[in-house]
Amino acid sequence: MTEPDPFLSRAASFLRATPEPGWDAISDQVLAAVRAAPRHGWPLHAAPIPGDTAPGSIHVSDHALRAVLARELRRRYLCRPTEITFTFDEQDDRRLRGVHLNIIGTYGTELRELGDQIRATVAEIVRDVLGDSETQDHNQPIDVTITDVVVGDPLHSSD
Amino acid sequence: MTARSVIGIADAPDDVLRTAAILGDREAFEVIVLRYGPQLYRYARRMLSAEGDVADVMQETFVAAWRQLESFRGASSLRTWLFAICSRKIIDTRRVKRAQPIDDKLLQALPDSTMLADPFLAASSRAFLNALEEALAELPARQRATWVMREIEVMTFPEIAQVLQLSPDGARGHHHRATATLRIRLRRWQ
Repeated sequence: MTEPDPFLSRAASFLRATPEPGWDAISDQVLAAVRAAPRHGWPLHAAPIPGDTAPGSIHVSDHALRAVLARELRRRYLCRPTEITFTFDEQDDRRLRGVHLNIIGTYGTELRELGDQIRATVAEIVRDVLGDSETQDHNQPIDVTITDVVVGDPLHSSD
Repeated sequence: MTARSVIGIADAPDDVLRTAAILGDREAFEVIVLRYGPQLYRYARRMLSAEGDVADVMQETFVAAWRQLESFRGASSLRTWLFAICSRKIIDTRRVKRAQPIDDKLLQALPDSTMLADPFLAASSRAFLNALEEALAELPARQRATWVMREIEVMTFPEIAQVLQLSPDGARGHHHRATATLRIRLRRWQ
């Protein structure tokens, strides 16, 4: 076993506390690279804009829809989404058939009210992302499961 | 009460950020980048020869982490996982800073009497820190990596072993040799 060396330990803690201006200089560049990096996803059918008669179809990746839902739910409600999955119809050009969410809530919240609000927000976002006809033509279920409740803000409590 | 009054997630714990980022929440991932970027940067810059390579490695590390996050199930801590990706990217560059033998005089320049009393006062002139950086650069890459992760980043030997794909005893051995060399190289400052 290596004996601790107080002199070197003190030197290391000095290095730990020393600012890294090099990181400050490149952090924006790193963030820009991450923002530009796509992730793999599966296509979901999206409705064309009304009046658009051009041939062809529009698809939006399930990853893109999941990302918008995760961010908006986390921002709007005192909750923490932990899983968001979709069912879709493989035989019908991958049309969305359902959204299923696992959510952590907080003590003191009316959970059924939270669930209803989340369902309404999900419906609104799906409409925005995939188009009106996708939600009107097919009455997709939106299932919300509150998997746990924690004391305080779920964004600040560990698993 | 269901509405959120405070939107920020900058203080959220790692596992909360990880789950959110797996779902695609880029804001959560950006908190991870800003939280661990400085640590990974100071590790990478001691392992690579050129500043330009450090910037490339940082960029590649976080882009790879973003893309691979869905397959990361939390077997190690988020920090260890990021260090492991960074370490692989450093090896991939093939520009790892090799052990650089240096002139003894650079490390053994006699400090004056006040410096002997407290070398950290002398460090304000950067001389001691420069000597330490020179001594670190002189170490073989694995010894240097192990010492930096153990002493500067305060990681455990099992964590270091995971990053460098060694056994914990192997990591301990590299650290022991690095410490012994640094003690000798910096003895005149003690």
